[in-house]
Amino acid sequence: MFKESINHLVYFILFSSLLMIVVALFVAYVIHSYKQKQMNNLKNLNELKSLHENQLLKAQIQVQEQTFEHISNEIHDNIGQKLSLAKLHLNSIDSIDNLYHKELLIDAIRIITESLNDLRDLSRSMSFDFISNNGFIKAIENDINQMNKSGHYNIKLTITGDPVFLEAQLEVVLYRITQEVLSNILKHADATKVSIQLHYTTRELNLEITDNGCGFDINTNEKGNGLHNIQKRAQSLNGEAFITSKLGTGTTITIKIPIYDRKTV
Amino acid sequence: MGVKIFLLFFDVQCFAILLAFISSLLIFRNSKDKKVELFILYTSIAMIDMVFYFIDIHGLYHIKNLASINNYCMILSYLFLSLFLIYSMPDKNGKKYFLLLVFFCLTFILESNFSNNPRIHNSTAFSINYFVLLFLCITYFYKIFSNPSDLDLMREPVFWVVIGVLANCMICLPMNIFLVFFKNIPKTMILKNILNSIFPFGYTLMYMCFVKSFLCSKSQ
Repeated sequence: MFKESINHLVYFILFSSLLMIVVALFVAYVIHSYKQKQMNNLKNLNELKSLHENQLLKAQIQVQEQTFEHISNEIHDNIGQKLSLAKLHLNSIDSIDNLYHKELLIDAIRIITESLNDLRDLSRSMSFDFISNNGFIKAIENDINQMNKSGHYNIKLTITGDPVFLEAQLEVVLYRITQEVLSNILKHADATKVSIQLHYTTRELNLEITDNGCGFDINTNEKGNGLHNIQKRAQSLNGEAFITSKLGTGTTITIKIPIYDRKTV
Repeated sequence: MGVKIFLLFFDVQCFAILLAFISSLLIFRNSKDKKVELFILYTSIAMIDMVFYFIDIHGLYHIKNLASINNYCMILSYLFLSLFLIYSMPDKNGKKYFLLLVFFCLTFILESNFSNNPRIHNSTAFSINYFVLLFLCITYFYKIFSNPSDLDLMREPVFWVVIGVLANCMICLPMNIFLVFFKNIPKTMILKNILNSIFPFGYTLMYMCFVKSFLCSKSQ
């Protein structure tokens, strides 16, 4: 009888322990599953947020491009036309006897010609059609020539790999990124030499812009609007932007963009 | 020996109820979750029930209407827990249907209590009680899983209450069903005691979860 009771007690303790283990396992399973679900939810939310940001950025870029296009057309059709007319009028003046006045006239014609050229370059750099028709490389070369003309900078463009025409929108965004980087260099870097390297591989395009300017400390400096824009624009092309910089040694910005649709230049 | 096992588990259950009662007293007016603060009502009912049982089981005084006290306490506990679970659901959709279900089942419990001898443990009423609570617990899990928020379950008082109720239902419901369907088969004294020992075990587990819930509520 006593032995039987002991057996019952053992069975009961075993049964209770088993139930406790089942309950503990159940709690652990619920908490684990819930955390998993939370993580999935967070991941989906982040994806949605990123998608939304991307769409917003694309819309922003589109609006910006439309504004640029408008300004470009205004420069070309309105200001350009007026300056051309002024130049034509000045060219038609031939009865000036005074040498000083003649020199002033020649100078005015030269200034108007230079202004017309500058405006044409500016109009091209702003025009979506120009970039999409002539390609991003041509547009960069255009900018580099303009900047080199000032004599303050020595900017070199190196292209390796097989250059390809990318989708027009992609080319324009890439060009805007390059413009933003160059503008940052002019404004903040105090650089004299800038190297732009374009490397085309079968899968991606690597754009590396290096300057010998003052650089900055990435860890202490908060990313300015310009750098943030560069990264956002790269993300909108499913690419990445890496910034490396050191005080006194310059800055390197690398942009990697995947290439899906290849058309050889 | 069987009686000793039962007494041992009953004493453990009493200790767990006492612990839960003290914890609920400590968090009363000291918790951010007002619903959990109301648990003082539940633990007080449990304490009253437990004191009567303790006096009777340990032979200090024989209480005639012990089972009926237990049955009425069960009704109050059922009402409190089911309403607590309904009002703690993360998503309030279908609240009125749950309330309808609770009050519909309450009539069955009351009917079962009054039509039977109130002086004996009413397994049918208890089974209905556990079925409703089990349903509400499963609904709670379904709702938190279908729409996960940034909830930390380990620190969520309602989660521990639900776990406690669920564990209790899972342990006690099969025992009650067994007692309902096999009430006529002869049971040895030791089997009776073993079967009765399951209930204190289920309740101990539930009250320990409640203590954890009160601690979570306080730490919040």
